[in-house]
Amino acid sequence: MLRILIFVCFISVAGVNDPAADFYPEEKAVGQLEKSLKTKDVEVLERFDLTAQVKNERRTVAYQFKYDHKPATFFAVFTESKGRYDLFDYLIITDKEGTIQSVSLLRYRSEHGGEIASRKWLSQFEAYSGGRLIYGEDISAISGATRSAMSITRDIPEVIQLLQTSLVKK
Amino acid sequence: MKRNTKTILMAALLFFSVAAMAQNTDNNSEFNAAESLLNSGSNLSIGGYAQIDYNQPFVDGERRNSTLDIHRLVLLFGYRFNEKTSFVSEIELEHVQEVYVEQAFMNHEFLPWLNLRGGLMLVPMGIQNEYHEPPTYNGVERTNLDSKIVPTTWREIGLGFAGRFDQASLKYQLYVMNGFNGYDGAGKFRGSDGFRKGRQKGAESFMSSPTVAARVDYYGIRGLKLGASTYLGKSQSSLYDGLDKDDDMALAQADSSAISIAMLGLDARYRNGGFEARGQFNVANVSNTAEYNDFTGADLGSQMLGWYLEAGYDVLHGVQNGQRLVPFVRYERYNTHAKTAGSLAENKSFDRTDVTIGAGWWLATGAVLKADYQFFDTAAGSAGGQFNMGIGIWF
Repeated sequence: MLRILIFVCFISVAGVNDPAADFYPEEKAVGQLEKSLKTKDVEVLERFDLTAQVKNERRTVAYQFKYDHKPATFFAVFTESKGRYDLFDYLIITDKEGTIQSVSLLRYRSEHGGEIASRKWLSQFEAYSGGRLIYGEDISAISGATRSAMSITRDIPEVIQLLQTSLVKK
Repeated sequence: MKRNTKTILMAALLFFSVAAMAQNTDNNSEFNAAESLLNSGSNLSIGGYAQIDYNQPFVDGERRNSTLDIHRLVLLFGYRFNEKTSFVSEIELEHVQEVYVEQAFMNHEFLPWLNLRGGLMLVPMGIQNEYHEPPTYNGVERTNLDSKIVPTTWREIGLGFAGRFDQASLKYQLYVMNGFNGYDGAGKFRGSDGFRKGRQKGAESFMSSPTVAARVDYYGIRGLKLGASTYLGKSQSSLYDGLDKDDDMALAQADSSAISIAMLGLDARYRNGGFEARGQFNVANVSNTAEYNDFTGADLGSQMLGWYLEAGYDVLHGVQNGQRLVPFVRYERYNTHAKTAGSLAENKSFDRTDVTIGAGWWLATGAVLKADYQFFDTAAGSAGGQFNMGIGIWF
């Protein structure tokens, strides 16, 4: 009896290690990646749930993937940040070293601050590979979207550092 | 004893495993309810902003008392029904004792570039009518251009579309809205502050003809945001209500009690490093003012025009302690009698120039202490000055 219980506990605790199981699950993530990369061929190698390691447990999942039958591997991080009142979802694609290739906004919910979804504004994060990012200096200010812009500028370095320390060296 | 320990251990294990499973599968019910309303996962948002002012006017040869006022305290309640549909409301307490609803609209997103929005909405004209929370602007008081020509906080009930184009760094708003009450037994407009007294604010408002408000924002250049707004339509008049369609006399009288407004606004905001600047231009062409003034005895101008330019520098720029200290200067010109029609002479005292010099100390993004001095001048002579101090918050 005790063994069964311990087994049940083990299974359920293992389940808790993926607290963002419903946050961009593989099928949805692949669809999104195919759209972002304009390809029909994305091959997921592994999924990692990083939520428990991110501040305020913002849902964050990473996929190691290949595409277009190329040998290079990449990471796709689906994560979220908070604007003034609402969370927004975005996708960070990095190379195998954790250097950002692109950032794109997937879901912006609030009526205000949607300016940060601008492709041009998000392109400022491209080639970022670690270190401090300062809003208004390294990343230009965006009027009318201050809270959202500050929060994504604060959260991206955290996610990239986590990716590099926990996954890149694997 | 040993048996008891084992039973307790088993019960505890069972409890934890069930609890862990419940947590894992049930993200949205009890788990969220247990957390506070401000939790990021909650569908209900609570926020607000407030402005507490101290104003000391100075007029040559006169002694003046200062005023201290909780100018406005606004509470925001937002509710998100699902990923696509939300409701936003702002309840305003003005000067402590007047209660208003500042916004109350529902938004439904079909696509990021196509949202249907309806209810009591801000007219998207200029910078401060939409972004009027004190920590978003320099100076204790809002700009006078955004009081005398754009009558902030200008809001009416309407319906329309809003959206954004991420590729082009553009967003737009397009609404059909109720217009100003220009006549309800007496004229509402006047020369000194144009349409301000005609705002209906969604309070048992009446409509004789709808108006259109539109705005486009462009933010594709780093640090810069450009906006263009327009507002077109007639003012509303109670004389149209119950009007006999064959009664030409009555119709002519009703027509004299309404004006047509074509307002245009251009604005820009720029921030780079510690430097920040903004500017705005507004012009309102008003037709039928000669008839309106004859009929109501008002002194409304046929054109109102104004602009301001402002620059500031964050001296704590680079310190990275989350604070900002921004001295600024603003030059503002606005004339509610830029043109007049009929026999109405231009009132030179409505041709005004304000110079504001001051500073804001942001202790946090949403909390600011402000102080400034304003020099008021008119084409008819100086109108004195005013020292202001204020506390502004936004959360």
